[in-house]
Amino acid sequence: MLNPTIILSTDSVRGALLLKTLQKNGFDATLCKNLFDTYEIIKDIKPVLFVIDCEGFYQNELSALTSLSNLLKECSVLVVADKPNYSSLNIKGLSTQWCICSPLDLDMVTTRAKELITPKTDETLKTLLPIETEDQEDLPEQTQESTLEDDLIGYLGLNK
Amino acid sequence: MSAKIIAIVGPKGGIGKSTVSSNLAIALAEMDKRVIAVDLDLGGANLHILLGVKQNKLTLDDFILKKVDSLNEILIDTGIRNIRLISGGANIPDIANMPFQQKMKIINHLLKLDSDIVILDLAAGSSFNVIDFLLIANQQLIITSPESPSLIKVYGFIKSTVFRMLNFHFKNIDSQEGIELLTRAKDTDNNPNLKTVNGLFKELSMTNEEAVISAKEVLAKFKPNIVINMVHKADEAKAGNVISAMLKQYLDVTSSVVTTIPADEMVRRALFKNKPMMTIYPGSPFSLAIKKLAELCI
Repeated sequence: MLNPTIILSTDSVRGALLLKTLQKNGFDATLCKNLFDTYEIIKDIKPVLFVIDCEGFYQNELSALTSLSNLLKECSVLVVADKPNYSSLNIKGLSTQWCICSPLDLDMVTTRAKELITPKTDETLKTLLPIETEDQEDLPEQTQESTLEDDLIGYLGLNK
Repeated sequence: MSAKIIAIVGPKGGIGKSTVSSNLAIALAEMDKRVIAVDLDLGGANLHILLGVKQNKLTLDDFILKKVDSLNEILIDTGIRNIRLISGGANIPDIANMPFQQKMKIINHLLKLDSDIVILDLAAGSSFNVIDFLLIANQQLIITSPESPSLIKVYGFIKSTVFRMLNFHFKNIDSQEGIELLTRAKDTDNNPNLKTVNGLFKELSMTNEEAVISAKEVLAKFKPNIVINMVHKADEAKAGNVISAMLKQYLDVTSSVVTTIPADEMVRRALFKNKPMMTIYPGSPFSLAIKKLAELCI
């Protein structure tokens, strides 16, 4: 299967829109309409991407999703919501991306989904971290830094 | 109380300077700050589009052509809460090369604007006009992408700014030696000892120690903040540390890399929709980075 994906949405219209859009963009997507089905299907499919549509869920209901974390270890999670207030959805150890849009923006969801299943996404998100928290002992990066400085000094004629 | 002025400059064109300006304005406005965004990309104004303003009947052109007496008369309501706009003109030929007196008139009026924050969206390049508008700001944000061509332009821009500051200062204190050294420092092939500002100060200290002390004090007030935009990989953000170290070593300028903004495909989509990122994609990595930048600005 190509990019096996599970969509959890209790809203039949939004769920169908998400399903069709992701299928059209190369995701082998399956729609789940409740948490119980989701649990069963995740075990069968082993998705690379899990899309959670928060519309229609209560926060307490969504907190139950954290129990799925063992099943989702190899999976990226994309949370679609109208505002970022679902704090219980910080599932430890998982690569979670938020897609905040109201009304539902299918272009944005697709873009985020594609980013999540490529290695680029991790690197992009890292840039949001303060620079000083990055690993200062990473020798290859230090080498690259020296090269950039050498290049700039050369281009600017600052070398002796 | 006078407004805090934040100047946003990107010496290289196309690195997202106006996109950062417009979205930073929104982020600050959402923090309950009254913001005036001023498009000073003279001759190439487009900030109104990025703020979703379709009609800008009153622009800086009207002020320059003396159709209105003050900048207050050309303030446009953007429709976004807390944000007003002074739209840049694009109809006066050579407006980017305006005379000194004209520029001073604009500066005087900018300083009188009634707001919490005034954001100056400056043009690309290193013209005197751009530098002078930058120097009236309380906070300077230098936007660059992490690639060498953009970083080289940042270095060149900061060097031009330093030379302009020192030139003004040496004229003020009537230091002919200082002015002469600045002229000689433009030809570093024949004056390799003047490649660095510290080299210039060393040479000047032989004839005028006081001029060096006061010049260092002037330069110490210039503390540009570097924003690395369009970052694709985490390690690219280190370009900021590289350029910052070079600015210190060669130009004696203390800068800081305040934040990095990830490359975000949604920025392009927002541009196509003529809507600000912060408005339609507030949860995107770009918007989150802009919010972080706004927090650092206040």
